[in-house]
Amino acid sequence: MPDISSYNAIAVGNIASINGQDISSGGGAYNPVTDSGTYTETVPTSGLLKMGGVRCFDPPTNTSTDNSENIPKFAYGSQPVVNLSSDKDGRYVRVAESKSDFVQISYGRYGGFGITASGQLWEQGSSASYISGSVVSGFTQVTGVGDSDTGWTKISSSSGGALAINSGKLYHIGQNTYGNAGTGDQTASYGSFSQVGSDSDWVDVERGGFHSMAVKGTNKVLYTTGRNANYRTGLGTASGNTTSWTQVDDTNFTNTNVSYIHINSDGCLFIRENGEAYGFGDDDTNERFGTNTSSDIQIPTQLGKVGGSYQTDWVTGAMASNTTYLINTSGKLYFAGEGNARRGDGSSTDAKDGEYVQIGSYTDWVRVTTDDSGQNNQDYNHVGQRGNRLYYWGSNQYSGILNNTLTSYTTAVDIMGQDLDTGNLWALFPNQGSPTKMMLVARY
Amino acid sequence: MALYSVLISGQEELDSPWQDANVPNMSFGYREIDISECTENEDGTYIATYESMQVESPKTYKYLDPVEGAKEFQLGVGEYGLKPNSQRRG
Repeated sequence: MPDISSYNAIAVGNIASINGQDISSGGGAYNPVTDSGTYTETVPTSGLLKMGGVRCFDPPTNTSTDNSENIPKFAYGSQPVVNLSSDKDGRYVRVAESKSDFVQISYGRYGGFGITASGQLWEQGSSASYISGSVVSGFTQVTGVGDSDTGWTKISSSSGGALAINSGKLYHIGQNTYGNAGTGDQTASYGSFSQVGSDSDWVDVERGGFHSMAVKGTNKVLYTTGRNANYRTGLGTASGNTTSWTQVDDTNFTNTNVSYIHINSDGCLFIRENGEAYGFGDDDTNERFGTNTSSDIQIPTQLGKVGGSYQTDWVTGAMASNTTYLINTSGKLYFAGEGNARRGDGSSTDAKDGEYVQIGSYTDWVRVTTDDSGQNNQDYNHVGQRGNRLYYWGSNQYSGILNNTLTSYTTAVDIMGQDLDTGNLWALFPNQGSPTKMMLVARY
Repeated sequence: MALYSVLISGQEELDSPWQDANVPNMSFGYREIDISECTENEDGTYIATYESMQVESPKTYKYLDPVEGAKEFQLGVGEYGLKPNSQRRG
């Protein structure tokens, strides 16, 4: 048998180190030929993107009561670095490649994207139609698009494509079925990014499954485009599709200084710099907007009444199919709408009297969501960040993010029992577009 | 917003949006997405439906034309997005 401890002048241990693996040296070291000895794998302990979710299959064929497919799998193929030790505790989490420099991450149905601190855009995806390069399992940098390869400031990926901002200019990739790219038509841009118009003052953008919203100009004006059904574009009509970016109806507010936007499948939520919160879109008996009505909200309408008065200290929030969540400057979390398994404080009491109700008494809420991709019409799963930790509540059987049980959790549970890595990077999104098969990606 | 029905030939026509020159920032389409959602007639045609755009008070729209940039137009009280040869149903 040949001695392969050193081959072509390169030690085996050094070859392993190149792949992030260390092989212990000396007596008893792992012998790859005889498959004997001790094998030690060392992976980085921080700065890793971890993905979780039981029903992470391609295609997702299981049902909500089928727990036999609880095998972890990356949504977009195998990853170069895998830490199976994370699975030992029953949490279905695997470690993806290290992306310690990402400051944004956004996953849609077919494409996932990240932006680095230096303004680079990286992508991975399962379909070449929805990313600019070839199908890849790991992240690959997007180059040659826009004014600068380091000019990317925002990416928002959803079910049919993505919208992104480079040097203030807006780009889209993928479907445009409902005019959700705002190009003036409904023409898709498969396989490459196309610029939308020629303006260079785009500030923020969120793409949903059917419509999109954006903030533009030094005055930070709110625009929408896409499918009007259920008044989800805030233009006062539910007919047809808006195919060009259009300023929302400003009857109830001053359309400037919009500081935060959030989109879901049939509605929009936004907050102004003065702390006022507004929403519009589909509503029914769940009274998700907390406006004491079960009718659709046709144009932007103020939200966030507490104790009989509209509060003006909101900083962030989320809209789900049955609820709206708002977080104020004091780090307190409030909600309106259906309470069952959606509050996270153990209570199932609804909030349908026009008032927002505080969830628990914590004062360290940072962010909450039921879907960051804007494509979901369900809200079975909730993830919120308190301090530097992520908490889960909801119908765990539809994600398995917490564990491999079919249990519903009405009280928020610390998902990993450890702090997020610096930068608090995480996103919750539907696997392969299915609203009942959620995945969480977070950097620890 | 009123409901209209239109006779169409199949999926291709169902997928085809139409324009109203008065509303340059929008297109209009049918409520049904798949042809199986439409009522099929004995002669092989289908009945598709759409909802018109009803403006109850004059309204100004500010939008971004992808070529010409920022534009503005007004809609008076009325009904928009109508497709020729459609029948009002409600």
